[in-house]
Amino acid sequence: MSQTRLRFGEFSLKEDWWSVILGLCIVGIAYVLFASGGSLIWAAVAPETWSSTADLGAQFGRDWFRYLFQFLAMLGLFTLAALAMGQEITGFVIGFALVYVLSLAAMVIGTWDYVQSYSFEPALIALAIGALIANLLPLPGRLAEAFRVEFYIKTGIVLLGATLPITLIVWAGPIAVVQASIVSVVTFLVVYWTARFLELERKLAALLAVGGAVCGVSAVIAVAGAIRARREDMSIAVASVVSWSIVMIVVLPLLARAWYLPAGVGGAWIGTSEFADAAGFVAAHTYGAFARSHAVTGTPDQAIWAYTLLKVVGRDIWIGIWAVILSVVAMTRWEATGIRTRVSALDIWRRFPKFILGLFAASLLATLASRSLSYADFETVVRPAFITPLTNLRVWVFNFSFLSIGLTTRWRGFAPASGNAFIAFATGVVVNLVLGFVLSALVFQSYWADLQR
Amino acid sequence: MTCGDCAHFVDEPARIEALIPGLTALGSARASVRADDGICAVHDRVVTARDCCDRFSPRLSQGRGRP
Repeated sequence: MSQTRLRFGEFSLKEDWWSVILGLCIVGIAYVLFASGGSLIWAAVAPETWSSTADLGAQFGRDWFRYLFQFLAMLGLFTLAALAMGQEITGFVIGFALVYVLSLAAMVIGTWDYVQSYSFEPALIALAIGALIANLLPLPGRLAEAFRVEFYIKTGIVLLGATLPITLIVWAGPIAVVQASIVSVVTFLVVYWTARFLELERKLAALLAVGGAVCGVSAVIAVAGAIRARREDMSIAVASVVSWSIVMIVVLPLLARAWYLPAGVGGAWIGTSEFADAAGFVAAHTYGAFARSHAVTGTPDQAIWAYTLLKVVGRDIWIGIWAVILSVVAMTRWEATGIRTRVSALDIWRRFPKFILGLFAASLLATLASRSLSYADFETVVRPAFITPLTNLRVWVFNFSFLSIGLTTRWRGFAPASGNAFIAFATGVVVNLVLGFVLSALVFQSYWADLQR
Repeated sequence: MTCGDCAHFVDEPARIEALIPGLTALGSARASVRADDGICAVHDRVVTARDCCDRFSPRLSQGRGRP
């Protein structure tokens, strides 16, 4: 196999690169329109708060063409990426139409003022709709081509970059790295040694540990390849991470609200203690909704920003380094597999989650675009014409992801974890929660409580 | 003579996702973190395309991941 083919494959077949391309394209279009005196807001339509069916009917009577245009534009962009990645296109197109319609339904329900009074976010509603459909109705398998949780969340994270000032990343990023590293190392050691104490094999112990400590399923995928894990062990680790991530979507926001944590602090705790990016964003959105309804102090943006800094900048970015370290340990100290392997420092880059580059690039572009404006000008000029359309589109793409979590979470199909694997992971969950709370709400509270542009 | 050229090496994302239940719920076989890994049908392990072993069997077709 030629190296040229590998490099081309990395670029054209990996969804990380496509999320960067799509995300930056949208940010670029939004900026060009803004700079020429226009706005992308026309195509970034989203349901507004409504109180009666007459309200709702009037909205759709007025905006139906905008929704149609938006659907076709998104369908075109995501289908182009799916085509390049070699997916089955007919299934993808039909599946995407279903994803769009169900996401719209979740947003319509979530913008009903009666539902909003209970702080039910469209994020949570989308997840619930997806889970109900997946576990109660028979869906044709080919539609799953469009249920791409990770692809949508990564694209949304790139769009999120345009609303996250680079100055905030520079200011709070190092704290996020310190906090996340403390939790990652402690949780890893607790899960690993608990698993070993319970006589689980080293490689399964390591997979459970990185799944709980670093970045969920992505860490399991990266490290499984790095240590040449058994497929069965990988399945057990994936099932453990997914199950606990879904539980934490509900538990973390409710616990944070019970202690009236400010939005930024709650977001930081979720970023420290959730296991998977997409699941954490559902929880962070839910906590942001508590802030919007004044159940806790702060703003929805603070919850999302703090979560992103902790989870993406603090934890995801180090995945390649974890993989290489464990690869060296597996090769030199653990049992032989009969497979001849080599470890290369290049693996850090090979396994690097490239969508993070898109987050930084979008943040830098948006910050530069508004660098000479006062705060007042930013709020009256930049926010409505440039930031709001990108926020609306990010909410759409995130909802595609949240819905897809539900649509792909079929409990019946998961690998049955042994009791010992469950205990080992659960021990890590408890440590993760407690340590995450101490660091977010006590040690670094002053950083997360006052995050602002 | 590496796994990437072996008939036992499965690296087609859709097949990997089918072989690991729950993978697509919060992950993806199309993610960068997978790098050039695949599943060895002989060892039933995750291996990289650059690995090798004594059970190497050359791939006959051009399509990857179709043992």
